[in-house]
Amino acid sequence: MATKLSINELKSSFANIKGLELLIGKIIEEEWDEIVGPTPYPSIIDLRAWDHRLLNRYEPFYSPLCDMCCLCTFGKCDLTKGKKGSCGIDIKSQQGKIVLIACLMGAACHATHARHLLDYLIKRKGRDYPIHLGEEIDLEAPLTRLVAGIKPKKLGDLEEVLDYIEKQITHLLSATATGQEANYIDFESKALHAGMIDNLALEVADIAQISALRFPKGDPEAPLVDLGMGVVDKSKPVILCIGHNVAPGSEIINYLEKEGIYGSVEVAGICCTAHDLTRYSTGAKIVGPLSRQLIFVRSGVADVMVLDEECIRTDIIEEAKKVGTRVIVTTDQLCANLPDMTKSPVDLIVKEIASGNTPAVFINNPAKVGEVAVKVALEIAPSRRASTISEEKEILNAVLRCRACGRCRRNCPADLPIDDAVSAARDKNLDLLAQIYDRCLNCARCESDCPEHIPIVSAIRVAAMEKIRNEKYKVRSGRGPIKDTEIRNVGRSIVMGEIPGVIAFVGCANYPNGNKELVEMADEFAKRRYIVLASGCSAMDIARYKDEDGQTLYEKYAGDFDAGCIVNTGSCVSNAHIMGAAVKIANIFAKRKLRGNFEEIADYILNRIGAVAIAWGAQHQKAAAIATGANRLGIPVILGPQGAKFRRAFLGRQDKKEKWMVYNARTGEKVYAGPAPEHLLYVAETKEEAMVTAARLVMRPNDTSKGRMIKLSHYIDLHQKLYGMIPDDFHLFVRNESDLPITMKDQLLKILKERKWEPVEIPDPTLLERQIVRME
Amino acid sequence: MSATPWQIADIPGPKQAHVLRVEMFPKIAKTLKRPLMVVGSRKEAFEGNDLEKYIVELAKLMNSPLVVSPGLCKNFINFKDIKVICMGIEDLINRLKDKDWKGFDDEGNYDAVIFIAGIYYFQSLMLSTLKHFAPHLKTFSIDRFYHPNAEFSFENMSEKRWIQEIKSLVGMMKSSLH
Ligand code: SF4
Ligand code: SF4
Ligand code: SF4
Repeated sequence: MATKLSINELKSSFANIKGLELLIGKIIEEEWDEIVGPTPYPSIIDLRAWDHRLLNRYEPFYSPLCDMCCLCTFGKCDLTKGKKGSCGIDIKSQQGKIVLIACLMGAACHATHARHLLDYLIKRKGRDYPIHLGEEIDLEAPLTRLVAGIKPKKLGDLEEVLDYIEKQITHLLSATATGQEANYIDFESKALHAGMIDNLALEVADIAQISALRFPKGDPEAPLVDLGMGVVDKSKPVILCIGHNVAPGSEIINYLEKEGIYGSVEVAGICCTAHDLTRYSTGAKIVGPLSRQLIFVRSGVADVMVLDEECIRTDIIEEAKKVGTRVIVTTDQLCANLPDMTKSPVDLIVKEIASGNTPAVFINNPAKVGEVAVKVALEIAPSRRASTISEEKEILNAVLRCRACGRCRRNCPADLPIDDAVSAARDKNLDLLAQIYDRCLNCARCESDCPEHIPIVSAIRVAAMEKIRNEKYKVRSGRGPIKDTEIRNVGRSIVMGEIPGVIAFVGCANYPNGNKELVEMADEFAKRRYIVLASGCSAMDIARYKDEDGQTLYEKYAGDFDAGCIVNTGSCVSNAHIMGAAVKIANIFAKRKLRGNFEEIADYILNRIGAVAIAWGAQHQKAAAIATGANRLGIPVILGPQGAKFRRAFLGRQDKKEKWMVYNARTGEKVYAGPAPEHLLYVAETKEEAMVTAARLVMRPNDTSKGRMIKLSHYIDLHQKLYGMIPDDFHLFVRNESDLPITMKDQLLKILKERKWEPVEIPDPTLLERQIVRME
Repeated sequence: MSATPWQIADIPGPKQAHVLRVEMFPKIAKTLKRPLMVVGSRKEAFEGNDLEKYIVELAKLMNSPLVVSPGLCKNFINFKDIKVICMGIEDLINRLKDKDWKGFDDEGNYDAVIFIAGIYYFQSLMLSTLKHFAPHLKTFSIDRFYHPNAEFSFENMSEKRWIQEIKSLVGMMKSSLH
């Protein structure tokens, strides 16, 4: 980490220096007078005590996906029935290790993405380019201030934050090697550190691109843009960008604008690059999330496909080549054994690609990618080989080979009845296949094990053709951060519990039943006047459904950070603003200091801010990292059933009273505050369970009676509506009679009496001893 | 019918479930002192049959309370003479793995858990948790999938065949009691 040398005054023969601070060879001007808290740039053990507090209450719960370990040449080792591996590790610690590795993969992806972006933006704009997130946003980088303890003013200031992040990742990864960390609790403490580091990298990436590119800056009225499989105008040349790093895509738009032909070429995207393209230019289009990747590429509509980094199907280049789509890979994260043409002249590259001599190349220069992609698209579009009716017939003929062996279904991660659908298609009924389209993850595991080599995913596409053509939706372009003024307006109501909660829909598209359930959840919470946030693939999937008036939720609800609104923060890296909003509340509303003060702020959020994230289709290791980072900051996360495959949850036990004791900061006494929030990371099996659990997890010890009454009434009402009964545990959340929803008071009081309920005081809650001292 | 993991790649390791045949279960059930029956959220399993009714009968015959995953609670709340607990399955598993848990009646943890109608991949992982961390419990899957992480599991079978098997299980349990 940076060493700081302060020189108050120095007079020598060569210079007179006053008030200078040196930070590893770099001169920074110190203009932030907030005192530095206890943990600026925390090492991997500096926040260990906080982690252990959390892990004592929310114990790691493991569901091993594999009973064996094969991480070194002693293995494979069987770790069932209490057996240890040759290195002495048991199954819990081995699971902790695997979870840490997953979180590190995620954090490393975001750190690398941030580094790529920052290098690119500094090259274009210079180190001194100001960090500016727009009007009404003075608190520009809440996570950076909190964790790093610096207030970044220029792009160049973010470099030292990334240096720190990269060093932490190396130290954490080292601890996963055989012979290093030995206990699951400390593996989890390290995973929490990796998560925090990940969240910091998200913020670096997003504030850099918001500042330096022309993205919306916290605008609640960010424009509505096109989304869906049917929004791409096939009559024009089409360039498709897949991944997360907007640099090459934005250069495509720059080049088109420079040439005055933007509008005559379609620029569309899949996954988070798509979000960021529309933040850069409203003329760009979002095809959809990861779960639409294979079907869209197989349609052959794209003339050129530009790949950057993260969430790109490993076989997508092969797939593109089959339909004549030309491919440009653009970063060191995905070179795909393709020839490096970065240094070749543009005309030569265009000729090589367009002629088909070298249909796929590597160009590690965003501006060059922009020019080449456009020129190739213009040249080859007239002869595009998009799939024809006869090919479609051929695909459907292939289903006649089906012998109903069922292997497709038994390979399907979502256990979809694909065998029945193919059998029905064999009998000329395409309805079931078309229904599968809505729930299909586009993983193609079904077809890769089909003994008859039936192109099942293509058959799904052909069966759903009509639906695909009509898939045209509106999504509000990602607005980025929440404004300081919005925080001022709602901070009090959130902390007092009068806004029932903040629910964030985050993460990937690995849903158990398609995206519709996600839409239903978001709609229900917005209707109930929670603040709803969204990011990444979830933010796209919320748009992929229209109500009876033909509107998507983004058209139906406003985009403010306020009760009953839905905010699209943007791409995966924009998740930083969800965590950032919670941190901002602690600072702007409650005046808690941020600088290097992680533990106090996390304690504040855990005990006072009713925010919960729902990662209904979490799939990527990045989602594991983001969620784990949110957990360290005191924000609970609910995963969909596929999330059980992350192998670890953090669960509380509401039946163990001793786990729910907090200090009353006013008196220093330890008091029972009820199981709020009950879990930090929980896997819900169904949409119903996720909704009721979210309504329960937004409760916080600090809620005022009015706030608790509002939260309880939603919890009880949702429980009744979705489970058909009053919750068994509602009494655990009642501190005194004023907490009870007025309309049900008599009925609930009767139950409370039966359960021998006793009132308890509402504390000024904290888990930290030092907060008592502060209050004294 | 086959006893290979329903999801082909769901091969956990050397320890995999013993195959459970319907006719074996009544005998085993007699040896269980505190069984707990758990219904998952595989909603399709309940279409066009009376599965709820058979599940309730089975639970009654075993003298077991019925824990139902929240997505399906509504299907069960109107049954009489049976204690139905509506509870998230992960939360339940977390308690079951604690030997000292007091159970739903304050009488202590259970000695066997019988799973039915779970979402395969989710159920598989919940069974894995119990396999590793709850040596005090026997686990049974009477779903239509072979679940390698259970201690005893039915083989894979069609939905139709499975409903038949569940019906005959109820019949056999009844006659074994009389
Ligand atoms: S790391 Fe340990 S448990 Fe894993 S294979 Fe090597 S010796 Fe076995
Ligand atoms: S794997 Fe192929 S042959 Fe077997 S049921 Fe599925 S589509 Fe038919
Ligand atoms: S492509 Fe779709 S149907 Fe096939 S295995 Fe994947 S999710 Fe299942």
